[in-house]
This record gives sequence, C-alpha cells and structure tokens, in this order.
Amino acid sequence: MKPSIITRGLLVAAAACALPLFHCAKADTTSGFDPDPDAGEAGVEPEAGTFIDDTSPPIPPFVECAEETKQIYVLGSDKALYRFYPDTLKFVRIGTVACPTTAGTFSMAIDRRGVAWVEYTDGRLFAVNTSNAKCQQTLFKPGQTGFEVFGMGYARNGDSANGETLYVAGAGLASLDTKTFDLKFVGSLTFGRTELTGLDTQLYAFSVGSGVIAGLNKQTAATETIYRTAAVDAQAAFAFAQWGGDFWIFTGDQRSIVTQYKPVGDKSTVVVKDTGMLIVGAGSSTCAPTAPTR
Amino acid sequence: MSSPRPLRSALIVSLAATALVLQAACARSVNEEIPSDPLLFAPDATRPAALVACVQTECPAPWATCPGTEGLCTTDTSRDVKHCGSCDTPCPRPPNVFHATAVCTAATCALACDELYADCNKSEKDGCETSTADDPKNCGTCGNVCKDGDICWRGACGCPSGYTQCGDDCKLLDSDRDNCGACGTLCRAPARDNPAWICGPGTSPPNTLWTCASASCILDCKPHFGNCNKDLCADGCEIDLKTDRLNCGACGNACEAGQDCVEGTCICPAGTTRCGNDCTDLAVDPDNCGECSNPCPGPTPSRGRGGRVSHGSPSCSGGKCDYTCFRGFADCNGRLDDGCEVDITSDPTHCGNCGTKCNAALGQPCVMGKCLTKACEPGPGIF
Repeated sequence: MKPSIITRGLLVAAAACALPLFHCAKADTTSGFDPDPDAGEAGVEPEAGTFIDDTSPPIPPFVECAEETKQIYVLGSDKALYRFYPDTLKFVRIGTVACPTTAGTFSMAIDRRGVAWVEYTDGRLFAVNTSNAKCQQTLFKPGQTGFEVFGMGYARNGDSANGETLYVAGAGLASLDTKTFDLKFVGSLTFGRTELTGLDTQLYAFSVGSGVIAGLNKQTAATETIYRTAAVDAQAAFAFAQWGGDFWIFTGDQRSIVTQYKPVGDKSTVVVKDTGMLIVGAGSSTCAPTAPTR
Repeated sequence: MSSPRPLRSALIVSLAATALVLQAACARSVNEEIPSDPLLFAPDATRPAALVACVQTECPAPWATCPGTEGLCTTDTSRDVKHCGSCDTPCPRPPNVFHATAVCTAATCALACDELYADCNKSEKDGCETSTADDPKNCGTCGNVCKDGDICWRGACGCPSGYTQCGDDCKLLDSDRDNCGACGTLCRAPARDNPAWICGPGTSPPNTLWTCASASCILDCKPHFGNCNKDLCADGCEIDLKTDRLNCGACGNACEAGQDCVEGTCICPAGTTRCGNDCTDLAVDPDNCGECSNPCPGPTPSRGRGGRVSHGSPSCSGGKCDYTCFRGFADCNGRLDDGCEVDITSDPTHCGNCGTKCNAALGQPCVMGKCLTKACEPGPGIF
C-alpha cells in the first residue's frame, strides 16, 4: 500500500527537521578552486542531472581556435607547462600546473578552447588553462571501465558541426565526454602504451615500444593504417602530437628528444636532440594546422 | 548547488511542523509552507510550479542497489563488470588463454584484448587468439600481411628507418655495441696494434671507452663526459657535462647567471626555486609550500588512514598549505587523518553536502549528490 500524501509529507518534513540536528562539518570547503576572477562565466555546462558542486565553473569560455591554440603544448615531469612552436622548435614556459594533488602528471590533451585536460598518475583528470597553467578539478571518476591511466587526444568529428571528441587510450580505446565525464569503451587497441592525437577527423595512436603510429577507426578502434617511425624506446617517457600534417614525438628517459615524423615520405628526423627536460605529455588542438605551413 | 544553512533549516522545520499540524486534515502537500530545497525537493517541470516532488526510492537507471554493495543505488549497471546491465549479470572472466579482460560498457559485456593480441577469427570461443606483435600474416592488425622476407617487428612489418634486420630482430647498427656496423659485430677494445688506438697502442685517455658511433667502433667519451677542448689524447673527455656550468649537458651550453648545472640541466628557470635538485614553484608545490622541504600535511590520495583511499590531497596555494577534497567528496568529520572520507554523491547521510540527510525511514537514496525525488501523485488536495 502506498503511503498517503500526508504520510509522505510528514516524512519529507521529518527529513527536513532532521537537518539542523546534525553537525554540519565544513562542507567540502576546499573541494575546488575559487573561480578565476578573470575567467568569466562557465564554459562547460553540466548535463542535466549531472551532479556538480558549487565550485564550478571549471574553465572559462575561451574563444575557439585562438592563435595560442594552434601550437603544441607539452608537460614536463616537473609539472611545468610549455608551449612548443614547431616551426622554430622553441619552448616557451607558461607556468607550473598546480593541480591539488601530490600525484605526478601522466598525459594531456588540448581542446579547441585552449583547455588542457591533464591526467595525473592517480588517475584523476584536471582542466588546466593553457594561458596561465591554472588548474581546476573535474568530476571525472578514475578507473572507469578499467581505465586507470591513459593517453589522450582529440579528433574532429566527421560532421564538423559536432566539433570534436576526446579519445583516451588505456585498457583499449574509449571516448570521454568532458561534460558528463562518462567514459565510453570503443574497442580493443592492438598496441600498448599509446598516446593519441588527431589529424583533422583521423585519430592516430603512437606506441613508443614499437615506434608505430596507427591510424584508428574511431568506431571500432581497429587499426586501419600503420606508419613506422624511428622513435623506438621501450623504456621511455613519451608524448605525441600532430602539427602541420606531421607527427611530433617526444621521447626520453631522463631528458626528452623531439622526433618529427613526416608521413609523406615516411621520414623520421630528430629535430631537438635535447629539450633539457623530461616531457610526459603533449597535445595539439584540432585548431592546429594539418598541412605544412611553409 | 546551495549549502543548507542551520538558520534556514530551523525556519524550515518550524514552518513545516506548523504547517503539517494545521493542514494535515486538508491533506495538502507541504510545498506552500516549506521553501524548496534543491536537495530534498526538486521542482517538477511537468507540473504546476507550485507543486513539489516527493520521496523516490526506486533507483533511476542505470543505478541499482545490488547485493554485496554498500548503500542504496550505488551500482552503475551500465559499466560495472560485476553487475553489467543488471545486478545479477556479471561479465564472465575470460580464461588466461583468451589474452583479454572483460569490460562492461553501455550495460553490455565485452572483451578488451590485451596489447599486441587481437580477435582475428571473430570467434568468442578463443578470445583474442592472434599475436599481432610478430605474426607476419597479422602484423599489428588482423590481415596485415608483411611482404616476403620482412619480419613483423613489434607490430609492424620490417624495421624502422635507421634500423637493420638482424635475424628476427631490428638493430641500430650505428650505435649498437653488439651489432656495430654489421649484424653480430661486437664493439670491444681491439688488439694493441690496431690503428683505432688513436692516442697510441693501448692508451685510453681519461673518461673514454670503446663505443659504437656512426657504425664504427671508436674510442670516444663515456656517457655524460665531453671532449670540449677537442684534444682527446691530451686530457681525454675533460668535462663532466652533468655539472659544468659552462658546458652543461653539451659542450658550449653555458648556464645563465644564478643558474647551476645539475644532471646536465641549467636550473632553475625563472619563476621557480631550487629545492634540492628540483626546481619548483613554492607558491603551489604541496611538497615545498612556501619554502623548500615544507610538505603540506594530510593523507595523499593513495595513503588514507588504514590504507583507505583518502579522496583528497594536500595542496598549496599562495605558499600556504591547505587540504583539498576531490569533487564529490567531503571532509564531514573535520579530521585530517582520514582525508575526505565521505562520498557526498551517494551517502544518504551527507547527500550533496555534509549533514544533508535523505529520508532514511523511507529508504530515500542519494544519487549524484541529490536525495531522490519524484513527482507527487495526485491525491486529495493535490491539484
């Protein structure tokens, strides 16, 4: 028998009555950062029904494809964020990424608004402003579908009106919705220890153990094309991004080198022999040029 | 989401109690007397704005209350490998020979092949049966056949540029001491009468060794040493590139004023401070907050009390220590030693915020930080 409306009302009211009887400890008082005073309004709105606390907005509403989003960003093992200019091979330090965790940085992807999505070694995902390295928490739940840590990269969707999708490579390939933070398994990946990048609508995975760059089917994760680079180092930290139609590979165990791989001509060239740092993450947005610039 | 305030809650209680006593006979809902609290009362867009929602006890899909799990509606059946699609549907664990793990995605069980294995025959009976690492008929991916004579090396046909095929392996002949210039050619100190002893028979200048460079076995500098004055036979490789400020990491790479050469790198970059051999931003580094060797207190994500996950982390902002709860978690007991011990997305006693209780008597679950509600059913006095 269903409770009457009176009963339900009483019970609901009783619940409300109970509220002040409990000690209200500090309620998540440090669960997030104060919004950046320069940030403006939220750029990412939670989906209906998504739990999100009042520390939003996570990131400001950047304009898509601002000039700064057309370069490569790299992340050092010391948590320093750099902008890398492939045409001059220069690194410009932006700052130290100060996400509220003692874990180390693991991988990174850049979206079209210049937000760096940075995963840490504890599996947590943070949103970092690429203009000042400021960090904000996200609601991403680590360990979804067996994905503990993963490489990341954006690729444009086939329908340009639908923007881009963030893909992650861990225990297979998955897509990650940065509004709901749901991770959706796509399929198995052939190559292990992979990082991702997009070249327009095509998604590529780089495996440092083999030096292979695999073109992936975004619906099945199946390998459709294979390129062979000379960037082979099974023990290395590595990162990977597309720029100008070429692939830029950062590898090293103490300090990273930069290898440029040109799919046209199948040529690998070490263009920076010593970056002076160990690079653990790299990303280019889908705003970056996809053809040679000069 | 707003936080409940004691004063406001007390007012709610008073109003609610009064309203219920006076109006119970009228069987009216309490909506007119109890201001809407987003945690307990969710406006129903399908009904007139004046009406409120009532307690909901049934879990919304894909959430479920599964046996053996704590709490109400805490299992996401869309992705839980033990409860995939429903509570009583675990994904079967594949045998080891399948080279795969079970995953639950979109409420459906699936197999994720281990790296360098693939399900090429599309049979569920043998899982991911094909090794794509070295199978020349399925190299890197199913059906990728290497041309005759090519090996399948680490998932791709042939060897990368710069490598040479030596048997079933690919080697860098220009730098591999065991395959220097040719497969199987070892690079070792030659006989004393060999002209490769450029500084005289059997003479090894300081910090040199026999190494493979440019596919030749030569006397050259040990790793991290440099022959910066170009006089190998006089003083060998005289510079320690790890520590020399004028030749840091490479000959001629001088550090700027105020910088040291540590492990071949000039430190520290502008805006950072040297702490030991690391460069850090004292304003934000929880291990060096405000000053070197000043770690902020509190359990780290992997080291909660009793081995439990703390769901929070020491943090540093403006050079001052803090402790930050990860989103969805809160420190409701005010103790630092157990970090942020409450999952406020699912705890019905701290739902959305510390102290916000769902209706325990009715078994009202907390899902996504909200006590579950539903539209009130029509009844006497309900419009």
